[in-house]
This record gives sequence, C-alpha cells and structure tokens, in this order.
Amino acid sequence: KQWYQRRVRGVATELGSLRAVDFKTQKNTVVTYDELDKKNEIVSISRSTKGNELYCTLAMNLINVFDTAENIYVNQYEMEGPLVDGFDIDDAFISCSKNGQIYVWRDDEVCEKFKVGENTECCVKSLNKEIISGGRECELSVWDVENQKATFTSKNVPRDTLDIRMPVWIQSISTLKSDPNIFCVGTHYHQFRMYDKRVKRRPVVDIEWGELPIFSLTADDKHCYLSNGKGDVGRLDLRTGGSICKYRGAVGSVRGLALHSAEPYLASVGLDRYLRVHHTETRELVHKFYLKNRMNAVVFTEAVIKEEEEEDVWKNLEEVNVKRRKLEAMWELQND
Amino acid sequence: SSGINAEYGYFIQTNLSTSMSENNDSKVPSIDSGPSISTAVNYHKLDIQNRKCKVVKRQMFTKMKAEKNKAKKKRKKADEEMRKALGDAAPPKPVPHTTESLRPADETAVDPDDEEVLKDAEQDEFSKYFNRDVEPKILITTNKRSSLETRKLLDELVNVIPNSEYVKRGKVDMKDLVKQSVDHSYTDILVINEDMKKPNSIILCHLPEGPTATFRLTSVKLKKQLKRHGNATSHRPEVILNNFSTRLGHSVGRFLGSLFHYDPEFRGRNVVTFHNQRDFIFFRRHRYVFKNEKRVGLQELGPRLTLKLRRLQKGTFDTTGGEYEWYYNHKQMDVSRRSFFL
Repeated sequence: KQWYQRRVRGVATELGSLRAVDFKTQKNTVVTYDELDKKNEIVSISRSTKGNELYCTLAMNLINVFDTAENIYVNQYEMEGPLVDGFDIDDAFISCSKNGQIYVWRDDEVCEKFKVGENTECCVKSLNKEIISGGRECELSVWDVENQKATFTSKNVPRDTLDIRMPVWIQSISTLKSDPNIFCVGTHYHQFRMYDKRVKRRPVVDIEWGELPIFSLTADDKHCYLSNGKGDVGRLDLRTGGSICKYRGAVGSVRGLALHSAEPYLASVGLDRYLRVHHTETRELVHKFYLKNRMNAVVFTEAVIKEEEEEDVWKNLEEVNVKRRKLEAMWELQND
Repeated sequence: SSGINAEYGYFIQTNLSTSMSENNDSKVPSIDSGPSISTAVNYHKLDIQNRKCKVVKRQMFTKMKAEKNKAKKKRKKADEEMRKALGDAAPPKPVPHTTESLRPADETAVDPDDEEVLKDAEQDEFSKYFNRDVEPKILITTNKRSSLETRKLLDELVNVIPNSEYVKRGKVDMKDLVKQSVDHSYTDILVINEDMKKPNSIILCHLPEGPTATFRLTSVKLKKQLKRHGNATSHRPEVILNNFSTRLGHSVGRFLGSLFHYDPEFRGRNVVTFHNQRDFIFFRRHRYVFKNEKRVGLQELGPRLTLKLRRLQKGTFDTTGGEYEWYYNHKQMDVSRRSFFL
C-alpha cells in the first residue's frame, strides 16, 4: 500500500520545454529538447500505455518520446506539416497532422498512411483502440486503424430557426473513462456536445457554455471538465448536461486540462503562465505554481520512487499537516 | 493595539479612547513604532461629531486640533533629542507606509537576467522592432461616427507617435479593419473608442498576428489645457517605461514601447513616458534640458493620458473566438487593495 504517492505533472510549454512539477516537494524541473525556441513549441502531451513514456508533439514536425523515469528524450518520430497529436494503440504509434494525414508507425517505420479529413484540430485515442478526430468543418469521426475506414461519423445539428446551417468547428474532444461509445466535444462556437455512437449520429447533448471557444476538455465517467478562452474552467454533469460549478483562479485562456486518474484533482494550465490544481469536489485551489512560460498541455504522471529515495519519503512525511493526512486517509479508505 | 493586519493588508485602528476625561498620555506611541494615530488627545472624534451645537462643535474641534499638533511637536522634539543623544546608535527612522510599499511581492516579478524571459522576448511579436528589422507603422482611427473631442485627441496622438496616420473609420468593422490594415502593411492599429461623445478606451492591435490590448482611457488632457505647455517638434521621442515589474507588465511594456521607433532622435530632446503605478499607466510627454549635471528642466508637451489595461488577447481583435492572455475580472481581481497586476 502506498501511503504516499508523489504526484508529478508534466507540462508542455510554448518555448519547447517540458516542465515537471512535483506535487509534494513543490519542486520544478525543466527539460528542453533542443533550445528554448518557439519553433520547438510542444503542442500536446500524451501518456503511453507501455511504460513511463510521454509523447510530446512539437508544433513543427516532430514527436518526441520522453522517458519520465530517466528524464531524457528517448525516441523521435518525424512527420510533415503542423502536428496535432501522437499516441499509441497496441503495437502501433499513431501521429496526426493538421492536414488530416495520419501515419501509423510500427517498429519506428511508417506502415500505413491515411487521411482523416482536412483541417483536423484534434485527434484522440478511443477506448476501443480507434482514432477519433474532428476539426474545422470536419465532423467528429471515429476511424478504425486497420481498415482505415470511419466506423462512425457524426451529423451536423439541424438548421436553426432562420434556416441557416450551423457551422462546425471542433476544438477539443474527450472520451469517457470507461464507456467506449460516448464522446464529448467542445466547439469553437462555445458549444458542448456529447455523442453516443449507439444511439444516433447527431449529438445527444448540445449545450452552450460560456462565450468563447472551448479549448480543452477532459472527462470522467459522470462529469466532464471544460475550459474556455477566457479562463473559465467548469464542470458539467454528463447525465443532465447541466453545469455544476466553476474552478476559479485562471486569468487567461486555459489550454490544457488533466484529471488525476485516482484522486479528485484537476490540473489546469494556460496562457497566464500558472499551473493550478483544484480539488474537483470542494473546488479548492490546492496548488498554484508559477511556471514562467505560456503553456499548452498538462499530464499527470507518477514519479518512480526508487529504493534509495525512500528515506527522503519518510522525512517529508512529517512536514505534511494533519488536515492533508486526514484527506488522504479518507481517499485511501474510499479507494479500498 | 493598532497595527497592520497582515492578512488583510490594511490598517486596523483598535485603540480608540472612549471617554473624554481619560488621560491618554500613557498611550503615546513609542518612537520606534510605525505610522500611528495621535492618541494623546482628550477628545474623541465621535464626541465632537455628535454635538449638535455648531459653535461648541467648532470650538471643540479647534481645541482638539491644537492639542494634536502640540503632542506631535512634543514627539518630534523628543525624537530629535534622542537622535542627537544617541547619534549613530539611534534606531532607524520609521518609514511611512505607502500603497506601493505595502504591495505584496509578486511571484511573477521579472528578473532581468532570467534566461526564459530573455528567450521569450527574443522571439515574441515585438522582437523585430527592438532589433530594428521593421519600422512601426501605425494606423489611428476612432469608432464609427466619432465626435469632436475624440478627433482632437486623435490629432495629438498622430503627432506623438512617429510614422502614424489617421484614417477615417467609415463603416468598417473591426475585423475587416484588421484585414485591410494587414494588406496595407501597417504594423499596429490604435482605435480610440468613445462613450457619451468622450474618448473612453483605446484598442491597440498589433499586426499581423500580434496581441491586442484594450485599455480604459481616462484623464485626457490635451495640449492646450496644460499650463506652460510646449509645442512638439517632429523629432522621434525616446521612450521611458517605468515600473512594469510583473510578467504581464513586461509584455504590456514591450507592446507600448514597440509603437515608437527604436531609434530616437536625441537631438530633439523629446521623451515619452509610460509610468505604471498601481495598474494605472500614465502617459506623459516632455522636452528636457540639462541645466547642469544635477538639474534638469522639463517642459510638458502634448497630451496627458491615463490608461488601465482591461484585456490582453493573444491574436488580433476577435472577441468571439479569441484567446485571452489576461482578462480583467472584477470578482477575482478586486479582492485585495494591495495587490496589482502590472
């Protein structure tokens, strides 16, 4: 039983540095791939299913593989065009560019290429080992990697009362934690939509949230967390589609959200150069770190505690105050 | 006891004397306490305020004032004597608090040697101007159908900013304006908006993709309203940016500085100052003359403005689809009277 889990966040920045912030010791480490340069801007990070690796997608044409245990860049995938995302599905590694081009890599070589649609703005891995993509005038579609065909394409909402077609611009997609058939989508026109593959092609839930494009989305089984171009970070209930609460603090656009897999913490990162961690239930701002750059993405990782470091762990335990211990004990009990 | 409540950052007065007859000499604050209220008086202000008869009220007040001044003189004298007696060993003089001195240290304060800040500055939208690769070319307009006061301010601003042009707004929307300006190779747009026929806000949009800053504009004084004003020449001014200490302030400061050529004509002895104090940016324009090594003469030219940053947006003007780097939110930001953002 791990009484004490060091929670570390990997944060991607505009100038190309990957910063890791340690939750407990409040330390801040910076790793850069090349030099601090805008051309090395990291657009997104995703965790790999295999080990301790992170896939960092640079804006230009590279996806770097970073090993969190060793703290070095291990591998690299190169692909043309401004890139959107990269992640792995089973044995294959998949990289997606803004043109909609998807490369499937096996053993570091490109095996297959196919197109997902022009102007892809986001691309996400589904629980069924498929690719979900969407973009500007690019409907949400779910692609099967082997057959290179779309298994599900969404349909646009009906025309409005003036008989004008509603424009489509998907800025963020998220899957749920356990249900592989439901997808959450945030659009440029500040709409939140939820699609259910089994029910129909049009969105099951379609709400307006906020006044600015929804740049980042992450979802749990019951709730989904959105963020805005203005700094509004909110929580929606997925059953009703109703907004529950907001997590205050962010001042500029929040571009990256991450939910901790086990514990109720939400990390948000954005243009105001701060990393904030909120408790999802109490909405309390638990941690706030000033990281000097504008940031694009966050990810929760777990630091590997080696045997030699265990002494440090015991020393640090005493600094923790009683309230936090009680909270942690509570969560431990709940998780058992 | 009185003192500064660290949590709230303001001064709490807790030792009010409650009765008139009580001798409060024992509560005279010691010399090394900070700023304090004079408590060595026999009148409490409420006793005076509650008096109905105006004559008596006035008398009591004058008496109170006289006693206060006396007590103050006494304290000062005692302080002087103590300092004379102790000489160097005297405790340091208490420094009075100001809003600036009570400002909590900002996490985001910029260290001028910070590598990341320097790298960011090397590659941001303004680096070309500070490298003198590009010359700024500014388009100044107003809102649609502007009134006289705004146009007067316009004329003055066109004089202040070198290489700027006034173009009538006509019926052009803001987004179209941005597009057209990019086509005509302008580098910045300055739009003066008005409310109730008076200039109210300034939108500074950097082109082609640069940040857009929206400022609230107050305290506009045109050249003719200033006493003993001078007439500016066409020399390019030097720019002084004061007190832009936080990271946000640093960006805004660079933005404002990039409007002017990074190649001033020192012969003209013109200075444009953007002085930031408590989130208000004071714009002044002077001509200076060094009378000798220590003394400088200043003559004020041109308009006086006060700007307050409302929003800083990452791209060009786009209120529906844009990303904000900083958005003024009254509920979140007006929490403390002591903390500021620039």
